[in-house]
Amino acid sequence: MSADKNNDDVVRTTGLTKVFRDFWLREKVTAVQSLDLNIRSGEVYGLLGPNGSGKSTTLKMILGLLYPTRGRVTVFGASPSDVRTKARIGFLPEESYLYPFLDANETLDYYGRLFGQPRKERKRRIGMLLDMVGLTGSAYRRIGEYSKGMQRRIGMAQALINDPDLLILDEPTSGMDPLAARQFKDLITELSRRGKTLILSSHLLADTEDVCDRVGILFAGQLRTEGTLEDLLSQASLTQIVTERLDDATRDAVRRVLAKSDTQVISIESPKDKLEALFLRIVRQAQTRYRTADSVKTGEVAQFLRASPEETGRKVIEELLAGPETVTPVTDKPPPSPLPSQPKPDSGVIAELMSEAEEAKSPLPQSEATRPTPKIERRTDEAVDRSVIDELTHGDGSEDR
Amino acid sequence: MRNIWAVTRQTFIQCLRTRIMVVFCVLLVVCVLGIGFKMTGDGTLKGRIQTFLSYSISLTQLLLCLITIFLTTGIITADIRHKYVFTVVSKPLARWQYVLGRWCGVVGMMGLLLVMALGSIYLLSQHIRKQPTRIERKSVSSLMQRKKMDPDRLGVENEIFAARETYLPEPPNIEKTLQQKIKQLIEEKGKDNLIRDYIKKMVPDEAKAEKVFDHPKMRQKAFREIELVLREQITEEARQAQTGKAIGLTFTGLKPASADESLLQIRYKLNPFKSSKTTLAGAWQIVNPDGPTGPPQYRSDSAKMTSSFMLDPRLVSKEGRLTVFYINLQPGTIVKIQPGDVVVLQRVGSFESNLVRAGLLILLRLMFLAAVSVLFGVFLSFPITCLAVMMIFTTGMASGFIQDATRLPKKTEPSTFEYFSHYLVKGIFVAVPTLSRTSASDSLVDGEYIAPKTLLREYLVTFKQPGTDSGRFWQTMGLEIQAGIGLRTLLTLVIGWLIFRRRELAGIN
Repeated sequence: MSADKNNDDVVRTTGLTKVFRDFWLREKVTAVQSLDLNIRSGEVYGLLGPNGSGKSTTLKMILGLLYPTRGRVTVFGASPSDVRTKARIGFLPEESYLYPFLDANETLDYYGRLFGQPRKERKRRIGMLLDMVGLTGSAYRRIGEYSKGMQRRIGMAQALINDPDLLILDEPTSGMDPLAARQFKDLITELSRRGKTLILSSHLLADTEDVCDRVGILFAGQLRTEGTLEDLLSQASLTQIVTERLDDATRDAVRRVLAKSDTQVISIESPKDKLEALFLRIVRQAQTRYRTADSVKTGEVAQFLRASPEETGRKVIEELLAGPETVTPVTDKPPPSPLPSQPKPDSGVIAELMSEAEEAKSPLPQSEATRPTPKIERRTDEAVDRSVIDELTHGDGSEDR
Repeated sequence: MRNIWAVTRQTFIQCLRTRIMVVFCVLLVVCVLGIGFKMTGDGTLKGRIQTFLSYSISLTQLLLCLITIFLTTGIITADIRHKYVFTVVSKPLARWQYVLGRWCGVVGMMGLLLVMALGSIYLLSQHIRKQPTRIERKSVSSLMQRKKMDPDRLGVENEIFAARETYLPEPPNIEKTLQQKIKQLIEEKGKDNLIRDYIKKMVPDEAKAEKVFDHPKMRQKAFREIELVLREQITEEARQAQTGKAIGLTFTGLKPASADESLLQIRYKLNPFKSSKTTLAGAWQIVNPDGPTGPPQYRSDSAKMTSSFMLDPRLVSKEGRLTVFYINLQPGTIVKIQPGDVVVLQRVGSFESNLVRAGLLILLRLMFLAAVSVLFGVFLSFPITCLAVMMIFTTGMASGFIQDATRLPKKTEPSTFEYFSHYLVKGIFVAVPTLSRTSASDSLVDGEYIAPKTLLREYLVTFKQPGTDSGRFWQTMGLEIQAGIGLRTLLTLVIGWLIFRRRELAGIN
């Protein structure tokens, strides 16, 4: 199911303002100010901002947990407190707000009941979700005894129990180890493929960057900028050429060629693997060696949440487990490239470069160890100018609202 | 409905896993067992059972009320304080469903505890019932014979393990006497003089008194007042018996005698009028208006103490009438019988069915307390909510005392403070129900029948003549309508929902 036919916006806020007042009704803080958001069906929207920027307050107004002081918010064209609207929403709060005296099974059963799911269907979904989040072995342990990461995972499972059309995730990867965080991101990608709308609030930029189609940056309750990652992150003034490893002679030749055309070389260096990718590779290798208990299935997207049964979900996982390559999320949509709108390289310069490189080529063969990985990171930190985001998201250390 | 059930079920599980609940349950079990096996009462079997029932049921009621307050308050405030409510109300659950589900869960749990507690009390009381009385212990050979005659055993069987309806006597018929008295006074003084004298007594200023007398409407009013004063005097006289004189009391609405009717009892309290006598000699003559007259019962009773004796059930007429005469045989003493001092008790049901109805009365209080806890819990913190509900609970339990203490004085002009406290308390009891009106433990201890109409009155509404009791909900058409505890519970829940509906569940973190 997607958004209403006549209205493609799943979430729409108009002049949304939230002022918190004290006991004497004096204005205490303006958490959100004149916020206009249009979140479209099927997109992954990232709400970024430092602590105290109003991300959580915005989400809580979208969920009907807070009432706007001014302005209006609609979800699927209706009020957020409408029960029919809420039936289409999944929500993962910023912390585990689950009953500590219930175990994972009971927790999911309770939330499944609130959606009026029949017993058989509830059981089926609970089993699949517990498998997906890797908690089958701890299904009968009370949530109060869980680690923070486990609580986040069961929190995610409860948010997905109804196979929601709109999934609201508040700081979804906080408290998670990199492996679980990666699985989360894969899940988000998979849900996006199914046409679900996702709103993600985070101050972890890497998380958002990996999965979001569009982001909005909040600061002091106001939307400072909004757009696709492509628009926000492209650096039209720079060109990056990626080749196999070059020896010193070739590098010099490249410099000479570029100097001839008055192009300033900023840096020529071997790309580095991301620490996240390295971590994932090592852990996955260990996992395949010790295939025990839940770890075998952990991370596999629950069948009822997959785009097409079996295939796509498995594909994501298989790619994840494949080895040293960094992962490119499987998606029907063209992936937002890290340098998406680089200007086309000048063909003359390239031809000259190539010929000089041939001449300067060292006779020594490259060893396996120094050979760069065939696939490169989709986005590299070096390639992205974060100055805009960093400046805007530089927190003042205050608590998140 | 499914949503309410989901929340109810979850609340039930939550209650079971709460430490406070375990603590109270252990306390309840220990206390009930302790009372059952250790308390002996006045040494008789009847006294032991009465003491056990009184203490155990009162304690059960008190502990369950406390558990209900702490548990409901704890659940609701923790949901909001720890933000568990975020994940619940963001699901397709209307807020009224949450409120109702939580309330139902607690009430269901309390109902289960109540059943278990009353079940244990019943089993223990049956165990004590089987113990021999003092007389039964003395001789085994004539046990059967003694069982029939043993007053302790009879008391246990007929006064505790029975459900007896209480009948009050009809007010004395004084109309004829009143008319005769008025006629006599008019003949003696003349009507105008009678009225003038009365006005002069009421209004000491002679000029003013004459002015009042000149007004025809005031003359009529004064004559009505004379009638009222005379009526009160004659009624008082009808309730008094000089030595050798009798007071007649008629009871109606009793069940006519039948073969299985084995219990009819008269319970009374005698008051010496302007005398310090501690023992009063007298005789009771019971008359069936249609048939036989029973033999007179000569008795010597302690003054102002409750006494009783059994009656032959055949003395009740086919129309359910019974006439009782008390003859004062105490030389030089006038005996006075106030309304309610003499009652007839008749078995109309079993102890078991009475126990069930007593349970329903206790449950009603728990329902009310759970609703009040929900009401305050949705917008106040745990300690403040507990304090507020405890205050309401104690005010409701002490309602009789509070209302008596703040009643306006009849003989003197009330002070400003008395007016203030009287109307303040009246206002409070519009919202707070009288929780002590029907005592489940008193009814069971005395084997008093808890009638379905009593339950209906407690759960829904009471219609009665105005001014007979305070705490009325509204008054219309000369009839006072007093909301029952059940109706107030419903209203409390609705107010709780309205507050919760507008409540912002998140704040500044």
